[in-house]
Amino acid sequence: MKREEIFEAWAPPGRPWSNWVKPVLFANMDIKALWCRPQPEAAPEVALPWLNGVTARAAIVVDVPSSIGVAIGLKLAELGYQPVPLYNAAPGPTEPVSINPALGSASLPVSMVDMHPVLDALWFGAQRLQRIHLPVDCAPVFLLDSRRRTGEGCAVAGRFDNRSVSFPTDFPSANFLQAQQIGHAVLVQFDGGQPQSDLAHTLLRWQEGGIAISSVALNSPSAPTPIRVIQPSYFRWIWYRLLATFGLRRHELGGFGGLIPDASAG
Amino acid sequence: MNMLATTSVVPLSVRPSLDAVAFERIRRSLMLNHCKWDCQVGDVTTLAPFPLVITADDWKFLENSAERLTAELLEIESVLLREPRLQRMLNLPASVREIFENAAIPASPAAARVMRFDFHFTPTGWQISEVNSDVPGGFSEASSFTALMAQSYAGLRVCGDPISNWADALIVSSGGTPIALLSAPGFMEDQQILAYLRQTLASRGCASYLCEPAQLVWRNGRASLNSNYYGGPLGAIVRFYQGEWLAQLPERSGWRQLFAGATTPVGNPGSALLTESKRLPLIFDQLPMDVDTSACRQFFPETHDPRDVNWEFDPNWLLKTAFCNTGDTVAMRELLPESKWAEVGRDVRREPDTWLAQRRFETVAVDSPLGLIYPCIGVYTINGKAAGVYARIATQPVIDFSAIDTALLIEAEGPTIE
Repeated sequence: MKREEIFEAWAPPGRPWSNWVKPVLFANMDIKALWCRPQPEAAPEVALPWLNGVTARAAIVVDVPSSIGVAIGLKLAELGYQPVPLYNAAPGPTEPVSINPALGSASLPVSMVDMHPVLDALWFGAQRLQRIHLPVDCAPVFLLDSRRRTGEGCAVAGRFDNRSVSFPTDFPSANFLQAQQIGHAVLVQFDGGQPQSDLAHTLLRWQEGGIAISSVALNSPSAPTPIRVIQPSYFRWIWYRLLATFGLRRHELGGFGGLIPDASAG
Repeated sequence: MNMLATTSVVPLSVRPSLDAVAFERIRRSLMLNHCKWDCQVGDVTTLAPFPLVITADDWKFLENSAERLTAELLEIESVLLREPRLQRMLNLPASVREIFENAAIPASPAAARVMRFDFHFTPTGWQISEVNSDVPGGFSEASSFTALMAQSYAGLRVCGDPISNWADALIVSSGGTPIALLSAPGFMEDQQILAYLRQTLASRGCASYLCEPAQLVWRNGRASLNSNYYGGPLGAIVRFYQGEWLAQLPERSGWRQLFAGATTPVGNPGSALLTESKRLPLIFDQLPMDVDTSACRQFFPETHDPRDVNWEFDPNWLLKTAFCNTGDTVAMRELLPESKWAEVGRDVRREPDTWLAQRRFETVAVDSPLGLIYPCIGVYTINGKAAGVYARIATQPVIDFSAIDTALLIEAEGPTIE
């Protein structure tokens, strides 16, 4: 498959949610390299027992680590939902980068958020999606990587810091959802409960706009539980976007989107 | 008079929208091949399916005006480097002022100096809302998007190709030695521009590397890169990292060399922050008499310290911060909820030196398939020469991050009459 075909499978023209699909991972797909990778023997299957509890037409927001979100999105696609990948992190350098073993990080992936499993899942999932005919009036399932803000492991020298933040502008508004006859949103996380703080900005806006929010815990699957999203810090602050992204820089010299420098450099 | 000749005719118009299929093809090509990764902001698709068209005469006028403005700003910058008092008026960060105060260390040289002037057509002619002198963006839209749109409109041509001009100028400046590309953490909008530049440089056979300031190693003003994927000398550094943000980094990250003391050229050099300040018009009267500010005075809007005007009750003023990057701090009372306006007001009273009051001007609206739109024509100059346009439109009279990008094309010139 060409990159354009993969993207088209995930963002089919004429479907209501295609415009929101984030193109970054698709634009960074190294097709030649992907062709050389062995296809998984069987795509991971996920059980969605909680879905029986979703009785109203709902937008689903899946905030789980790595490629699990893609697997859930594909399963929901077979049930008539449109998966909308919102992964907004560059996968990182393709050049070999050696991690300084003295810092105890040799077993860590080069990138703070290893996007390659997600990239592979999108690539292989495209073939499966092409066989699914989504209804024109499908509801969306937005796919996020729950590791996006924190990454995995320490932000040590040599690692590529591709952490990111989800913004309300990454999603449609409550008005748009309601115009699509969606009055309910279901947040799917491993532990359930309140959303991550960045996502809370979006869900609180939806809640204020009249969208009822429920939460599902994959760890103890049961029917969605209604929640009231708690107001996060800096809610509706004019400078929230700036504050949020600057807040990523836990390492004093590193940061999202660049290689974290060795402290001895410079 | 700012306007070309004395015409009362609006020099901007729009052409019909492309059909949905043709436009979607362009949109996807931009996303997948030309590093445009923010085509959707909330409910707004940020690419317009129709081009904005400017008359050839007005485009020439804007080209000349942008080049005049650039020449003046570069001279102003050289004067400001020696004027700590004026730097304070600009609200330049103290750590940056400290660097420039040391006259023994010369400002770092420029590698391809890029500016973008945001022009608006008003009832009294062309005016700019601001100059983006530090890290102007919009290259994918100005080059690839505009070129792709132009292919569908016979008789119209592009205003330029700024990404090619930028890449070519950088290669000349670097002498073919690899180039470092610095960007700020957390901003995909910035990363996509550097990805686009890197792609353009690569197509010309020039190697470039994304990195952080602290990965640069400085010896006698020469920069080299110390990373696991490239270790060696650098021919130039592209600083796509807001100057005022760099100033917040710790000393040992080496950011100061991007402002002064380098011999490796930096684009834009840190001294660009002097003319990036939106408080720049406050110092025009303080400059030596022999510094030409005629174009600046002609095109910049009337600007005051907020303590000097009645911004709270006079709706003719808008407020913005000295280092307002994407229109995100532009505040107009009637466009903000009362609570937000009150929040801005408190901030202005608490820290007036970080704000400015700018006299509002009326941008002439243009009829379009989206209804009335307010165009902003961002004219690039690269090393002093006009190089193309990043055009945006808004359905309200303020251009911010949610504005819609459009292609600006030039009307074919009529037959020459001998």
